[in-house]
Amino acid sequence: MVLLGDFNPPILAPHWLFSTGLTSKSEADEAKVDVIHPEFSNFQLSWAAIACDKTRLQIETSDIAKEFELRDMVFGIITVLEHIPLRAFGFNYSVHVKFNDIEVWHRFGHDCTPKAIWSDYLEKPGMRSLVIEGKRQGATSKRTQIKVEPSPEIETGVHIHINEHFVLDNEKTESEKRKEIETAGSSEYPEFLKHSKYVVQNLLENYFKE
Amino acid sequence: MRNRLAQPKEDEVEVSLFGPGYGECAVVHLYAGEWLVIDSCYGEDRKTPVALNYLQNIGVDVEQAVKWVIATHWHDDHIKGLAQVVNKATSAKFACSTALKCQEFCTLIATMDNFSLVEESSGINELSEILEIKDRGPDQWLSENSCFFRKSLSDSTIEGHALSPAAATITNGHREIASMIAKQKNGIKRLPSTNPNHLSVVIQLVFPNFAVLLGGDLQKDTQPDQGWNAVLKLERPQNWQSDCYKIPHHGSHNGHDDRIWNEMLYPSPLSMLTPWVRGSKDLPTKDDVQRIKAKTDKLFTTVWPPRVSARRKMPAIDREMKAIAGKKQSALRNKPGHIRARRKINGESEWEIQLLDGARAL
Amino acid sequence: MGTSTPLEKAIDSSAPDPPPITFQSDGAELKLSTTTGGKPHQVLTSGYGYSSDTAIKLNGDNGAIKGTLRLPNLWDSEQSKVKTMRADLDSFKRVILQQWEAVVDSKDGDQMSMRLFDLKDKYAPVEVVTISVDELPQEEDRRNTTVGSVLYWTIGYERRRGGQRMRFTEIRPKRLPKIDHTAQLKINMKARKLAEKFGLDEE
Repeated sequence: MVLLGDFNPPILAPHWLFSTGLTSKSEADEAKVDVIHPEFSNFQLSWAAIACDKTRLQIETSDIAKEFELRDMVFGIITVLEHIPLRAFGFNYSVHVKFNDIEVWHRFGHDCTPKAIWSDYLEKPGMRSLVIEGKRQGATSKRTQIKVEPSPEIETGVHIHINEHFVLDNEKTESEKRKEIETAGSSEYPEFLKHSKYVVQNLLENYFKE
Repeated sequence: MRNRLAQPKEDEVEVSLFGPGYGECAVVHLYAGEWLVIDSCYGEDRKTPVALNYLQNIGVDVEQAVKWVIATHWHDDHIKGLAQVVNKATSAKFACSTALKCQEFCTLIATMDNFSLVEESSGINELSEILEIKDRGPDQWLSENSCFFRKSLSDSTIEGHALSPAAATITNGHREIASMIAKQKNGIKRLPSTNPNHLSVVIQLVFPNFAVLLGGDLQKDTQPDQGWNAVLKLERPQNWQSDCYKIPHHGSHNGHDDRIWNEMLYPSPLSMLTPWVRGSKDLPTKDDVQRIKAKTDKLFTTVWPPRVSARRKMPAIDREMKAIAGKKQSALRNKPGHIRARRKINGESEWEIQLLDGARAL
Repeated sequence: MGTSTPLEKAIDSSAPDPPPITFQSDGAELKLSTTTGGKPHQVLTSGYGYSSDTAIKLNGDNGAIKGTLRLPNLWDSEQSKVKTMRADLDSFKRVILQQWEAVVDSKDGDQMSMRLFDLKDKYAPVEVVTISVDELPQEEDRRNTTVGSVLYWTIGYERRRGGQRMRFTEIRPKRLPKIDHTAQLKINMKARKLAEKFGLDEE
C-alpha cells in the first residue's frame, strides 16, 4: 500500500513502530535497517518492507498471509501520525510469471499489442510495456492501471502490476481523510486483491493450458 | 398452530425471545400495533438484526410501529445490530442504563472509537454508533424504579418500568469502567463481555391483568444494595407479580435467587432463556436446568444445545486445527431460535407458546 | 488442496528472486552493483518510488552491472549503503487455506478460548476453540495476550525453494497503536463532547 503526503522519513524507524505498539520489540530489534536519513527511510521487518521519503510512504509484503497485518500497519501509522497531511493513497499488486515456452511468451505479447500496424515502421516490433487504465467495477478509486511488461527479473517472464489510485479531497480534514483510507482499506482492499488475482488468472490462463 | 407470519391481534400481547446460542433479543408487542425491542442479535445472515427480520416478515412497519428500543447493557451477545434497529425505527425512543451516564463511559467510548480497527467490532462500538444516530444522547436513561413508558387504555394502563441498575451499583460501575480505560492504555484490546453484568437493566412490563419480567443479564451480588438484592428490596405493587419471565444471564446460578421466584413471580411461570457459549463453558449447565425446573414446568430455550460441531473443512485445515486445538473445537449457530408467547391483554387467555427455528422445552 | 493448474504452478514457481543490488552513495552520486542480471530501474520503481526515467547511466557486462545514477537532493552527505527493499522478501510462496480473526474470550493458565471469525467468508459460522498460548511464537506476545486480545490465525501451504510444499500455521497478534499523549488529548476532547451530549456538564 502506498500513501502520498508530507512525511518525515527519519521518524519511520523500527523502534518507533515498537514504541507505538505497531510491532513487537523482537521484530524491531531484528529489523534490517538499510537507511534512516532526513530524506529517506528504508527498512525491513521479517514480513514487511517499509520505504518512506518526504512525499511517499510505501509498505509492502510478499507474504500473502500478512494482508491484514499490512492494512493494520498502514492504519496504525496514519492514526499515530494524525496531523501529517495526506493527498492520495493506492493499492498495488505485482506478480511475475515464468513462461516455459518462448513461443507462447511471444504470442502473449502479440495478443496484447498486435504488431501489424507497426511493421511498416519497425523491423521485429515487440512490446516493451503496456499500460491500460480504467475503473474497476464497483471501486471508488479514481482509476485502476494494469501494466504488463516482459519481466525484468526472470527470463521469458511476464510482469503484471496492478495499481489502484485514490485521490483524497483537499477540502476534507485530515481526520476525514484517514477515515476514508480506513474505509477503503477495509472494504476495497480485499476486493482489489481479489480482482487483481482474477485479472492475472484470466489474462494468462489460455497460455497455460496443458 | 398459528401461522408463523401472522401478526398478533391488536388486543394481544406478544413476547418473542430470539437467540442463536450466543446472542439475545426480545421483541414485545405492547398493544394495538406498538412494539418494543430489547437488545439485539443478528439473524441467520449475520448482518441483519433478528428483530428487523422478524417484524418485517410479519408485515410490521418498523419505522412507525416500534416505540422503544432498549439496550440492557453493551455486551456483544446483547447488542449486535442494535444500531441498525435504532436507525430503522425512526419513531422509537432509545433507552439505556443510567450507569453509562458518566464521564468514564464517555472516555471509554472515545477511547475505543479512536481505535475502532477491530474487524469484528465490540459492543461498545455498536453503542457509539447508536449515539451517532441519536444526536442528543439516549432519549431515556434507565435505573431502578423508573417508569419509562405509560400508555392509557380506556379503563387501565400499560406500563414499562426499569428495576435496575441500583444507585450503589452505578457508583461502583463508574469505577469499573475507569479501570477498563486504564487497561486500554497498555495496548488496545477488545472489551471483554464479562463484567459488569450488574449494570444491566431489568424491565418489568405491567399489563392490566398480568405482568412480564425481563431479567436482562443481572446477577446476584454479595452486597445488599446491588444486583438482584437491590431489585428485591424495591417496593412493588401486587399487580407486578409476573407470569412470564425472561430468565437473567442465560440461566446461570449467579443470576438466580429463590426470592425472585417466590416474591416476583407466580408459581410455575412461563420461563424462557437464551443459552450462551464461552470457551468450554456453556450456559445453562445441567445443574442450572435442574434448579430452574424445580421452579417451573414451563421452561423454554431458544436453541439447544447452544453449540454445534465445527463444520468440516478441507482435510489440511482440519488436520492443522486438530493438531493445535485438539477436540476443543465447536461452532456457534448462525440461525437464532425463536420462542413466541401471546395472550390477550385482558388476561382472559393463557399464554399461547410457539417454538420456532429450533426453540424447545428443557 | 486441489491440484494446481499450470498457471498456478507457473505463478508459484516464478517468485522473482530479486538480485542483491547494493547501492553506495558518495555525495550526489550513487553507485550500485549486483552479481546477477537484475535491472536497476525495476529496483527503483518498486523499491523507492522513483520512476525509470531518473537519470541512470549503466555500464553492464555479463553477470554484473556497475554504474551510477543521479538522484537530485538525495543522500547529499554521508556514505550510505542500501539494499533493494525486496531483496529478502519473497523467499517462499504461500497459499492460504483459511484465515481467521480470533478474539480471546477467556484465559485459564496457558489455555485461551477464542471465537474465530472467518476473514474470507464473513457469514461463515463463528467457531469456538481452546488452544495453548504457546502457539504464539514470540514470548512477549504470549505475555501480552489477555482477554480481549485479537489475533490472526492463518493456515496454509508454503512452497519452499526447491519445490517442497509444507503446511503452515501462524498465529500472530493484531497490532493496534498504543494511546500516546496526542491520542489521549483527542480522546479527552471527544469524551468532553459526548459528555455535553449526555448533559453531564449541566449536572
